[in-house]
Amino acid sequence: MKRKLLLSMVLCLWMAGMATAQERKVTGRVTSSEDSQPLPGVSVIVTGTTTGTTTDAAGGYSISVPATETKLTFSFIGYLKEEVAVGSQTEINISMVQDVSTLNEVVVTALGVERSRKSLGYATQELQGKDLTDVRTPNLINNLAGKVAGVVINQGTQGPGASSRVVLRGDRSLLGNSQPLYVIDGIPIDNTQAGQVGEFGGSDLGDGIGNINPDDIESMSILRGATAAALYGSRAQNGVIMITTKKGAATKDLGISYGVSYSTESPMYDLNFQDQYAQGENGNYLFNNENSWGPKITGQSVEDWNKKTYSLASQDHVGSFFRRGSTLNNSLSINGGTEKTQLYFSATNLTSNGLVPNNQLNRTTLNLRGTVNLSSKLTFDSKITYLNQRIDNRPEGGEGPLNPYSNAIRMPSTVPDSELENYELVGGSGRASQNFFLGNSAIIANPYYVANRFKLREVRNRVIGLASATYKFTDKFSVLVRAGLDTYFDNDDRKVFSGAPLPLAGNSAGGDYRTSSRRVTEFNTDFLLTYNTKIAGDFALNLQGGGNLRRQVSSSSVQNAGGLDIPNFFNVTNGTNRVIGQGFGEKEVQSLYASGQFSYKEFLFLDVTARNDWSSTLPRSAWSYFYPSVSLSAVLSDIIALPQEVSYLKVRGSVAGVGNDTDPYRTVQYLSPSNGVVGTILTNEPTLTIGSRLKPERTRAFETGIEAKFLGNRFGFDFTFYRTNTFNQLATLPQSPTTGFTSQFLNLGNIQNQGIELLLNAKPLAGDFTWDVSLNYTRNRNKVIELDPDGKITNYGLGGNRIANIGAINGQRMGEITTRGFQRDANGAILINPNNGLPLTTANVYVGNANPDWLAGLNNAFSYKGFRFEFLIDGRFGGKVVSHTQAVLAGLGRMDYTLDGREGNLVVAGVRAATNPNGTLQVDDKGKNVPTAVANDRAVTAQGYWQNVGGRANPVGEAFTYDATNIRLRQFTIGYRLPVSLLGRTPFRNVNVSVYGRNLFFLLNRAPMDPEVALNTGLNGQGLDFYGLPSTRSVGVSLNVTL
Amino acid sequence: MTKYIRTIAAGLLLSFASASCTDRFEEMNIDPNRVTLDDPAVAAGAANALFSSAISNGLMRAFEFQRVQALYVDLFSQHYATSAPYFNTDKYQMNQTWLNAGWNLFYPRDIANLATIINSENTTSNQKLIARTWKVFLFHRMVDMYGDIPYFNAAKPNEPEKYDSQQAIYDDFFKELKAAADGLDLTVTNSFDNKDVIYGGNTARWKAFANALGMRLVEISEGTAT
Repeated sequence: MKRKLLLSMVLCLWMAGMATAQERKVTGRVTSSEDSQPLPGVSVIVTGTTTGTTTDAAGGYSISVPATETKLTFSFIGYLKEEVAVGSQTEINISMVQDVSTLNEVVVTALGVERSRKSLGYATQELQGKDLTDVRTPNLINNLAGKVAGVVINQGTQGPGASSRVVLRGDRSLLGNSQPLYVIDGIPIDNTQAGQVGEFGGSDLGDGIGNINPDDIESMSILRGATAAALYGSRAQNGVIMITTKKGAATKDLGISYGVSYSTESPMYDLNFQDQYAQGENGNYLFNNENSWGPKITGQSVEDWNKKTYSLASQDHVGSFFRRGSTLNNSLSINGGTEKTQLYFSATNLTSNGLVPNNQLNRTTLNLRGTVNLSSKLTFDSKITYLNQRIDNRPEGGEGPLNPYSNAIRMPSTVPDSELENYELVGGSGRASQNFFLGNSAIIANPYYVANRFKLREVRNRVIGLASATYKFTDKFSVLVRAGLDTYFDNDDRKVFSGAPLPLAGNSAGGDYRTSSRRVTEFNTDFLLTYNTKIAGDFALNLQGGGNLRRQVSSSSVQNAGGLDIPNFFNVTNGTNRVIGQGFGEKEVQSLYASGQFSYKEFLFLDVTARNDWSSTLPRSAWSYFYPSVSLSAVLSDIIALPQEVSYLKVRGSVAGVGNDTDPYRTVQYLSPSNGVVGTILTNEPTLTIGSRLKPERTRAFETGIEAKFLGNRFGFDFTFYRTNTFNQLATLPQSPTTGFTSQFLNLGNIQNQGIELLLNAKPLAGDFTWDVSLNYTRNRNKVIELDPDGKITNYGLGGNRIANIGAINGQRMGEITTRGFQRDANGAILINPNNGLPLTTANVYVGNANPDWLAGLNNAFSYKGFRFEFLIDGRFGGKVVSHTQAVLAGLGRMDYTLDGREGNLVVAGVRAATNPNGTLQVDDKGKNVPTAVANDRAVTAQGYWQNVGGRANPVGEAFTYDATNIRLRQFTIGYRLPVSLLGRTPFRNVNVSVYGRNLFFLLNRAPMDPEVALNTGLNGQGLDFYGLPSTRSVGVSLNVTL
Repeated sequence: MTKYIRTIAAGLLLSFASASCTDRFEEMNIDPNRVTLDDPAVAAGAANALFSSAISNGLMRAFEFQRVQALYVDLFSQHYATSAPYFNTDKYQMNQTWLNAGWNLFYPRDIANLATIINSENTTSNQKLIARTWKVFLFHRMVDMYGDIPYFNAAKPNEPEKYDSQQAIYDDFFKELKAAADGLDLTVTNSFDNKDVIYGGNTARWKAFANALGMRLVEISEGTAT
């Protein structure tokens, strides 16, 4: 039926074409001369007219040629233009040749303007939609890892739908957000991270970019530097990631594509637990103890907390608790149109089951894009994307009983899984409660209970829309008017059942309920005037001027019904201790901008941009701020004679400034409400704002680069050096509480990032068998040039917790980690307290930086006829990670390295600390202990040592600091495209099957976990491992067919 | 046709331009979910709620009271003792965390709240005087506990931070209490509405409190307090 409908639609269109009569119909197929593969999207124009079409996914086209015309022109980016005489032919098949000399590659730049790559004075990198869908990740942005230079990505660890931290060219904001701006089809989208995990738990509520459906993406352009971004204004100081989505094309037939992929996920690594010693302490079995310092497991018979007898045996709690994750993606798209109207429609569903039982993400996206050429001068383009996303039972992170992974790894191995799986017990009163040996612990719970009796549901409904009209006054002068909307509504429900440990259930036996909602809207209106002309002879000029009005409004409300009166009746009215709250934020930024590109003979390009913003978040005196950029590009290979081997050589350079505003409501000193004994009480905000003296934040950026191609297109490199300084940062500075405020919000700091990016490309083999290699290398050096203006602050805290402090240290870098560490003598030997044999420690020992020193990604792609094989190796070098997980598991005696010295004792290697005659430790004038030359001989028990060094409250972080260097097989794809000859008699034009894998294994990893896994995706969680779920290894298959 | 479209384009630009006014900026950048005393419509009620927090916090909530008073001062002075080895204050050892607990919240929370009432143009004379009386009460406990402390420049973020002598602070206490006792308008009651949980809005009793506190401070300063 559907097929008939489509046929009749096609027929109608065809008949419409017939009506104009007196025309010849020419059909054909366009292929690439290089590999004989079809070329979709080739522009086919009746020479000398504006009549034209583009080829479909199979390279096919059909065009009506008026009787008066004689030639067709075929053009495609990166290929030589072909002109073919039509004569009496009705079928013209052509093979297009790659244009290696001019490399007139087109890239999408700021404001969605397509420009030839050679004209750009700054570095950009493009990814195609295929790069995001070949190997799938629930948050598409994770697919940039290893592929794009200058980008560092850290994934959240809370299962599917977790946020990701993306930083282009280094951290620069002291207040925490160094993430880029995401722009889809010229419209910025919201990328708020609604929740972050803290050391004591909490939920990562996802981000904005993670909602986007990769199947709708045509290409992605990564504008790393401020120059590329100067025209996007304030938020672009951290770089811009521009996404162009798919559009309909004028094609002969409807293009119907269907894709399905299925993958399974498993933990990428296991922790090395000991399996020889039972639950308990000091060698004794204790059924109600969280430790694993009990007796050696010999199958002895003991009683559990329910007085059941069982024999001690070690079990793999993590293995039996986790299930195999799975991800199923179904995507359908229909694309077609005439020369006047083009439509693209897609429907996609993603269902992802996390490792933790009952954790699921389900996302459905509907997308409709329509382009109408009302006349040769007026074009309308509109798009509406609707998505519905539901996440059930996203596991909490951090340390706490609601983190099921933390529960499973802490659990002594001898606790019987059979008993844990039976997670609930019903007591005499008929009330159920958790079946667990520490039923009321605020630290550990039965993971099965948490997975089944702690219910979270997050629902997001989001609409992203755009409507634009372009009017061409003349060939040279046009105007674009555009409105864009991104709005979403979140509704989160959290249910804690009756009988849960009281710390979870709000200290009530009846259970606990919280429902919250959040609405975020961003509205953009733009106009853009464009004027292109050739001034005289070889000079060309392209001028643009425009304006933008951006409004962002967010509101939230939370209703907390603590202590449910009727147990397990989850209704706010049923709460005995109701607390409600609300939030609101609104800001508006108005902008005017202009840019000019001057070019000489298509080999020398000068770009100048200027922008002025007016932001409502700043005081009146600072509402308006201006910033310019200048860039220059010269294609040397077109200017001077170079050896024949050098086919392309370009140098470029740019300088730019960007101004930035802040969040709403920072200019007034407020009083905040809370609930008191006699109604509402108000309290002074502890942060003092300098109000009218605030200035906009500034970034100054410089970059230069050189790009070259050799031997045709066979080898090439692209090298960039950049430096950015972000100063006058709007941030908080701690101050003495006697001033009445604990901190002050003001302009401060100067953070510099300087680095190099290098891309190497080679095509060692071409022809039937092709081999492409690309290598990207990134090295960023962050430097804190200034913190506060008075120079009083030496270490600006970015985050702190029980194991480590993360800070920006004056003269050093952001992300410096300090922890408790060992006291050492001049030779580095650890000082040991001779009275107890335990190491002596001291706070604030510097252990390293959370950021990698450099990154590299190596991609190899092979193809032979329809076969394709591609793999990506991704490495991060340098940097440190501190693991609270390890500290706690060591203190609990769970790890294999705690086996040493269990039978007998340990003598910690080190030197004795000097003692006074009365036996107390000697202390020098700095409060440090004094080393002796005598080696330690005092023994300690393994339990005594690890509980002293590890543990949850005040561990010696230095002992649990690991080198974050790692190299992994990031992904591979093996694909096969069925030959056209096989498809001849089927309705399919294109059939692709592939097998893929992601995060397969480490080629090198010195840490006991994935060092890319962080506590959260904020600045304060980097370099910290706090019970994050393990990274997942995923292996899948996919099938794509085009009708 | 072209002219027509040009008119539309001009109109669009104009409508954009007319929307591009910063007229609403100041109004837009006011948080509807928080208040200031500068807004006359809410100032009266807001001052009451500020005073409420100064009372409840000033009396030291259980958490700080336990650490600063019970676990610190009381153990230090051997008012009572403990056998727990990790409560080292009874052995005259300093515990920085407990000391900081009282200090770090006292100024930003209690004194800053009262200073906001005292400095506002939208609070009444009686409100200011009662707040000054209460401020003396809170400060005298801090002075007695810590000795010389920042007082005259407390909660004045634009003034240099300085420590003042107990003598100077006590002298000011008497001035403040006298000002309150002399200045309170007894015909005006319920200055802080229902939030005055101490005297229920009875101004005369606040005046009596100012006088009585003055007497107590005399005894403390002369070392005759019991």
